Amino acid sequence: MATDCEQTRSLMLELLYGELSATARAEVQAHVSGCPGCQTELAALESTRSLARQTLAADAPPARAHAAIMRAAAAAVPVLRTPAPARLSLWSRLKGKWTLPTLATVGAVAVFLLASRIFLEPEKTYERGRQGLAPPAEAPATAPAALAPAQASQPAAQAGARAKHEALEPAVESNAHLAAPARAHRHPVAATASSGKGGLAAPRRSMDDLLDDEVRSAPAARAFSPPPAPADKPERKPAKKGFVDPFGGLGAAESERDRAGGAPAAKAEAPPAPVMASPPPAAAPAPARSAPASRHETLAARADRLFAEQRWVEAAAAYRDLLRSDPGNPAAAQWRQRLDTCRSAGSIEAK
Amino acid sequence: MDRHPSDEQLLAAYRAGQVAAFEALLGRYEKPIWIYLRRFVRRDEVAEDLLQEVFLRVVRDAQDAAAPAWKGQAKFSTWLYTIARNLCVDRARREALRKADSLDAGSGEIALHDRVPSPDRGADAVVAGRQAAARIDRAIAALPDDQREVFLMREVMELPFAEIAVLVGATEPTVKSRMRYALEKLRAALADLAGDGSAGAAQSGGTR
Repeated sequence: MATDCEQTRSLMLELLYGELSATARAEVQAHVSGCPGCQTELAALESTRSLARQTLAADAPPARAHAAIMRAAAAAVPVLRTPAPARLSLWSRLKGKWTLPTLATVGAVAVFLLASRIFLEPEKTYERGRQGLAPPAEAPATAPAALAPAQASQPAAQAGARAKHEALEPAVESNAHLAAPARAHRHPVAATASSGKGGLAAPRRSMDDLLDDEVRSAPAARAFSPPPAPADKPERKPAKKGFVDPFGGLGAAESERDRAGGAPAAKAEAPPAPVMASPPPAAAPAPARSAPASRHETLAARADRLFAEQRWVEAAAAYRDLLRSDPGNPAAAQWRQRLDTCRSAGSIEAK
Repeated sequence: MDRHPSDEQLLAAYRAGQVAAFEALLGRYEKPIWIYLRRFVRRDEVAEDLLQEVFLRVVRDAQDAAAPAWKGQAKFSTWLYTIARNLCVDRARREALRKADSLDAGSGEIALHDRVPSPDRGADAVVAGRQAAARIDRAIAALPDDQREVFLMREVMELPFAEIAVLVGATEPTVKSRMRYALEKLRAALADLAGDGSAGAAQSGGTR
C-alpha cells in the first residue's frame, strides 16, 4: 500500500493534467478511490489549481493594446495584398484595370463610332436596320480586339432586344454570325460579373463564415472556456445573404453599364430592358429581414461582414449604429474596438 | 467545411489580406500571452508593450513573404510562445543590467498585488473575493521564475509538459518537477483558501 501511495503521488501531476495513458490512469484512479490520504492530496491540488486558474482567467488583455495591434494588422494589409496578385480573382483584376474611366472611354468611343456610322452612312444603316439580320460585311473577323466590340455593338444595337436575350442563350441559328461579335464583347463582362460573385465573394464568404464563429466568440475563448457554441447561426444567414447581394448587384450593374455604353442605341429601339440583374447596388442599410427581436443580431452580422470585407467606412458606420442603438450589448466592447480599427484602417487607405 | 480553422489556415488567410483572420488569431492568443507576459515582467505597461511586440512580429512576418521567420515547420502557437518568451528573457536581461547600473532599482516597480481592491464596491463577498484574488496573485508572483513560467505555460497556455520542455529548453522531468514545486508552494500559500475545498473533498471521500 505504501509503495502504491508513493507511485500514485509521483503520477498525480500527470493525472491532474490528463497526461496519463488510459491504463495508467485507471490504475491510479483505482488506488485513489480507495485511499483517503491520496484523495485528500489530489483534492488539495485540484482546488489549488482551480483557485489559480480562476484568478488568472479574470485577467483580460488591455483593449488599448488590442486596438493598436489590430490597427497595425489592418495597415499591413495593402502591403500583404500586392505581392500576391495571383490570388485575386479575375473579377478583381479586371476591376483594377478596367476602372470606371476606362469603361466610360470605351462607351464614349462606341457611341462615337456608332453615331459616325449612322450619320455618315445613313442609308446603309437604315437598310440594315430594315433587314435587321444582314451580315455586317465590313466587320472583319480579324478586327483589332479593341475595335471589334464597338463595331459589333452596332448590329447588336439594331438587333435590339433579340441580341439581349441571346446573351443568356446558346447561339441561335441564322443570327449566330451576327450576334457572335456582340456575344464576344459581352461575355467577358458577363463572365467577370459572375466571377465577381463566385470568384471573389464566394470563397471569402466561406472563410468569413469560419472567422465569424471565431471572432464572435469571446476573445481568448481557447483559454479557460469551452469552444463557442454556434447558437446564432440560423439568424445570421439571412443577414449574410443581404450583405453579399449588393456586391453581386454591383457586378451586375457594372455589366449593365458596360452594355449600355457598348450599345446605346439599344436603349432607344429596344423595349425596356428586362430586369436581368439583381437589385441595384444600393448602399442598402441593414436588410432587416429577420424578426425584430434579432435585429441587432442581423446588424451585428452585417457589420462584422463589412469589417471582414475591409469596407472600413461602411463597417465603421455599422458599428457606430450598433453602439448607438445597443450600447449595453455584451459585444459592445468588441464593436468599439472594431470601430477603432475601421477608423484607422480607413484613414490609412484614404492616404 | 471545417468550422474551426487552424491557426495556420488563419495565418494564410491573413497573408492573403483578410484582417478578420488575424483578429481571430489574436482572439485565440492574446489572453494567454498577456497573462504570461504580465506575470513574467510584473509591470503592466511593460507587459502591454511586449504584448504588442509579439503580435507585431506576426504582422511583420506575414508582410515579409519572401523570408518569413515562421516557415510552417513548427506549430504556430509554439512559434508565438517562443517569441513571447524570448522577449521576456531579453527584457529581464536588460533589466538586470540596468539594475546593476543604478541603485534606485525597484522604484518604478508596481507589483500586481500592490493594487488594493477598492473598498467602496459593495458587498463583503466581493471584497473578500478580491482579496482572495489578490492573495492568489501574490502567491503566483512569489514563485521562482522558472517554476512560475512552467506553471503559467501549463495552466494558461495549456501546453503539455513535453512542449513546455522544448520551449524552455529543459528536460521533461525537470519541467514536471518545477511544476510540482510550483503547485506545492501555491498549495501551502493558499492553504486556508483552498482549505475548504480539500477538507470538504476529504470529508466526502471519507463518507463515501
